[in-house]
Amino acid sequence: MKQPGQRNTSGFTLSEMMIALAAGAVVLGVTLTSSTSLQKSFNAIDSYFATHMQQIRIVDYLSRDVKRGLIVTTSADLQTVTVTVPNYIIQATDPEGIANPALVGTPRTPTILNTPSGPQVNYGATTSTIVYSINGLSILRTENGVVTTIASSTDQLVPQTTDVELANTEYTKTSITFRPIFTSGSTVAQRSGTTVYSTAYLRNKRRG
Amino acid sequence: MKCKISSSERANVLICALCTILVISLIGANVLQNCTTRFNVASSQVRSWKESLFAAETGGDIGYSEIRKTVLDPANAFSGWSASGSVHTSPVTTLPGNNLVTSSVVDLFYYDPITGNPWYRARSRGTAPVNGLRRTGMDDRMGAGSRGDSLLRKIDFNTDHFIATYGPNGDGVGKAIIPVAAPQITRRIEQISAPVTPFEAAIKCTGSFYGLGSAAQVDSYNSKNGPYYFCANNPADSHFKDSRSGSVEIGTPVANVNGMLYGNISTNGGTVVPSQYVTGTIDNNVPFTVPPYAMPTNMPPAQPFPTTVTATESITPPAPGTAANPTYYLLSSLSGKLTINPVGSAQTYVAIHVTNDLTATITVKNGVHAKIFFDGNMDVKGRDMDNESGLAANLQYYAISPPDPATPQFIHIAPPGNFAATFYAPSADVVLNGNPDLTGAIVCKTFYGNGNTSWHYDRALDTEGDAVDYRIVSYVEDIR
Repeated sequence: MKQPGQRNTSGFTLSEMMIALAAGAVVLGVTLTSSTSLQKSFNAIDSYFATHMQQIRIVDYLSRDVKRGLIVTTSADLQTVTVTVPNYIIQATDPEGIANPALVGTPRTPTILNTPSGPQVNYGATTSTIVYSINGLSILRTENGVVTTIASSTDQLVPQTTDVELANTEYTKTSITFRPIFTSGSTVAQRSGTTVYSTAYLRNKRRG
Repeated sequence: MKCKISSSERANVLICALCTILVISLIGANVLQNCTTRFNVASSQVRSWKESLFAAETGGDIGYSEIRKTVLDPANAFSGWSASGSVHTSPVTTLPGNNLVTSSVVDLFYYDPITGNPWYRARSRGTAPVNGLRRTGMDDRMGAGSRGDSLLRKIDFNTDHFIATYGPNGDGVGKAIIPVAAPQITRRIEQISAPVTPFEAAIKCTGSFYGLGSAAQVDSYNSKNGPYYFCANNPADSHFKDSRSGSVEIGTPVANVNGMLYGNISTNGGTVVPSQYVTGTIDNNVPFTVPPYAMPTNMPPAQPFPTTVTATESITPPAPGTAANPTYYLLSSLSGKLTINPVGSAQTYVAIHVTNDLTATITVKNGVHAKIFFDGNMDVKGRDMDNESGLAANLQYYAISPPDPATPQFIHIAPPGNFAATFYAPSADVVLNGNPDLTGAIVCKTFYGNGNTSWHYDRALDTEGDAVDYRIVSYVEDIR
């Protein structure tokens, strides 16, 4: 019989509490594990795509420079590309720039030089040199001594330049790979799965 | 006993569930945001960056097409473009599909001092819209001092950065803040088009070839090294390397090759026999075409006199002129005997356009560089081409192609007489009789020669003659 003035109290039995705690622990564990796994997965995916974007950037850089290049050479170990490009813009240290500072930063009008192999288009008396090289996990682009890190987590750049003299054609094929951070099993297979290939043709063929 | 649970104590499970959903949602949103950023870069910005180059190169192709028209279809070159002096500006072209926009500026920036042929520079720009949100989304996570994507791909979000920084022509003039309607990427390229000269071989014909005589020979020399002498069978001679470029190019399988040929020969599916008389390479898989030739439209005003030559006439130009700006004569008839004198001791450049057949004797004195253009046929003897310098480049004949391709055109050269001259007649049937000793080169439709000719190709002709086409020889991108 309910006593007058008695509060309506209720509670859990011990078994209910233990079951609830166990269930809660399981749910919390699953949540934490899932969160951690999701976070790791996210990091891996983010890293993969970020590095893939770096691959695309390297390809775009190389393609741009090879297209406007006069001479492209690849090192024997296939780890370095050297591109000679015209000096299209007058620099402050160029003779024209020193003689007339107002010309600094403006495009050059090319001059024509007749050579035994035909007329040659020159933008100024000198050319610029661009070198693509690897430094640890980074790929560097060095133009006239100025270094730019164009990729920070791609560790393999394998360029190959082919000169087809009969067709007066030269092109550079490049493959770029990186090692994903969630690698497991065969590292070689993981790396090869990230390969991006590109081919760029020289628009200015200048021999010698 | 049934216990009633208070309503204020029922939300524990709901709160736990909401927290779990929140945590998972935050992770998901983070993933989605980053994926969207990557996708934005990959699908929009990289694509636009590439497509803007495609658009710029399309503009370059449009400009190149107009440059070629200056020799292939002069009457319609740069039609629809605006012109200011030697600078031609194209209308803005929007390419269908992705709203790519391109335009070009073509200017004549150089004349070849030897041939007078113009060189052209085409500056083209291509613009591609950047779809998606008006934010960069670029990957700038590079090392110190470097800026990742933004160093490579420059996006104009609100204003055109190039015009603001360098001016519309990139020369620092006319800098202005120009708003852009939507995010875009613009790339700029510069291409140089060089003239192609016609005399790359001793004989080049698009149709059938017969000749020369069984005792004939074709060899070469280089007039820059002095007068011709035969050394094609003497490897020890210092000029031997210039002696075996007497090449023949035939555009059909119909090739009856006789005589000794110190050079290469090519046909389009023919068979060259006997091959032991060819010292160079034989390539039977070289198809080519030669477009009809049109009268150049860049000649200066014609001299008032003479307008016809039917008897003996001698002309001395009022000024030496230049290869690019010769003294020009327009003749309705040239059937007599014409002598062209130099201006004093100066190198003198003369161009003559004959609007009829050509049957005259032409004497070109030393120091004169003459180009003879004719609309009809040519019927002369070898001695009628009296080129006193002996340099073939100093007497160049150009046969203007008839408007109707079905209209026949011929060049007949009969004995007697030796001569030094070049012929560019892509629509003409050429017949060469007799046994002349000749120096020069010929481009024609068909060739028939039955004499035991001694034909000497001058390697200096490789860079001589009027432009008959253009090719792109330089490509630069303005990466600012």
